[in-house]
Amino acid sequence: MIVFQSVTKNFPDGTVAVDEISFQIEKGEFVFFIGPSGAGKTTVMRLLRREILPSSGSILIEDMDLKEMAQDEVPILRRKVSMCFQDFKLLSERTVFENVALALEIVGEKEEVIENKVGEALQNVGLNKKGNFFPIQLSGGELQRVGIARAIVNKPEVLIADEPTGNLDPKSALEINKLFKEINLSGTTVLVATHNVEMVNKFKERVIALDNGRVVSDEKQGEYKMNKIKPKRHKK
Amino acid sequence: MKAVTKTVKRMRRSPFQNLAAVMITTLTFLVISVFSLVSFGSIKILKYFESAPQVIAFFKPGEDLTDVQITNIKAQLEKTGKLNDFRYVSTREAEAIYKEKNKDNPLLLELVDYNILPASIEISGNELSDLVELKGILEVQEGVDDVVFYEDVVSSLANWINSIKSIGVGIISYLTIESMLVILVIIGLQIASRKEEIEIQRLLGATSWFIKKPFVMTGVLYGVAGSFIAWGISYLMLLYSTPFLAGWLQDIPLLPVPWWFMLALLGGELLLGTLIGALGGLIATNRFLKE
Repeated sequence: MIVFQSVTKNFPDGTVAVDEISFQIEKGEFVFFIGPSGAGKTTVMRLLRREILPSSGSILIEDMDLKEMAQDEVPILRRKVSMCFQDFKLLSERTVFENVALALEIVGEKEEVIENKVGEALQNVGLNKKGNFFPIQLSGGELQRVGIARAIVNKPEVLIADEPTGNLDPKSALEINKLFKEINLSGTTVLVATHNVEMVNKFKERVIALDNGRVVSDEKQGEYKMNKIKPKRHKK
Repeated sequence: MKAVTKTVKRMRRSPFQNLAAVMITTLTFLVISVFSLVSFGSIKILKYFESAPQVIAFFKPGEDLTDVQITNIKAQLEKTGKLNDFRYVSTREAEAIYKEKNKDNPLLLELVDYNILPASIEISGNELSDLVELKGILEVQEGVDDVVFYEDVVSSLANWINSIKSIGVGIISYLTIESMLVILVIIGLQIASRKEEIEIQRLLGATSWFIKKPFVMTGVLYGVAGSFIAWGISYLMLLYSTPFLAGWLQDIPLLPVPWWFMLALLGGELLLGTLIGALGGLIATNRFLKE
């Protein structure tokens, strides 16, 4: 279970990225975070992986209090809460196989285990024949699939994706979101931040809408209609 | 072993940085090897001179002392409590020593026999400072023709050796720090060039040590490679120059340098190399990998 309790994040320049937001996500849920640029989606994602600390409020993931957590516990959190990035964050001089294997090397898996698990992860994302390819040889959709394979290879409890389809064409974006749904069906909690309303409405999942750092709606299984929200930061 | 293989694989990406680091550590350890060998040799030379007779009293040529005279002189010397070694060399023994030393020169052998060689008393003291008193006793003995005194030679040799050691320690300290700094800077460059990879590793949940380990290993490999190459070069130099040095050192039993000493030198240098590399790597990672 993920619990955000009155979380606020102020940046030194006075920007309030999220303002007193609260929500609760159960284990195994699929949630879209939607909102225009600057709404606070990325800040929520970064807070969830303790890339930044909240200015006030508390964030709980299972029994872990992210604000109180010691620095040496952060790697453990990031293995439980893995992430797909909009810009993929793949190493260009490593092959697809090596990029996915990196997540397993980090946790100290043995060579033969890495071999099997990477093969399985690439199979799940439909790239089992492209293990020896380098990132430069892949399309945008394929690169994101590699990112997803790397994110799921350690069987995380939570998978978060920040604008994972932002750089993709509509067909690839749909395929990637379908892949997230498949991962969710296997028991992983999936949180996707996006501004693509059309895509969100196709999936009929829970949608938490953010605007100006605040939760403006939380629809359990509904469609989200984008109002005329002006992307604007406010300062306290 | 897997970690070493991976580190070597990564090191291949920056050959010139590797070369610079290994060359500077090799230079450091070459100086360390040379000074270690010089120190070892000079200690042996000093011991040789200290254990050799330090005062020799020569009697009139062709005249031997009676047993009573010898016992009497020895008793006077022992009474001081400062005598370490006492040896009487008769004219016959002096002749035998002379013949042994000049056995390859028949002309010299023909010219000399025991009648023109002096008997002598060779002594050494417990401390160099004791020799003045012992020399004084020998000088007043009946029939003494000349007294040869080595105190100045040994003490000035000891001073030279101490100076060499001090200079050596200074140069070695300077080069050790320099090597460590070069390793630190090179690893810093490598960290900077792999910033993106490090960031990705952090985002994937890598521990601090997982990120630091390859860089520290790189430093250790620089240190080990430099120390091993330097040891090899110094050993080859020593083997090559042994015939020349042996002729120059004559009776001083210094060469060949025992194998255990070279092995201990290798072990010590590898250990120091590992330390320098690890320390350089650790400082670099702590300095440039701040979260």
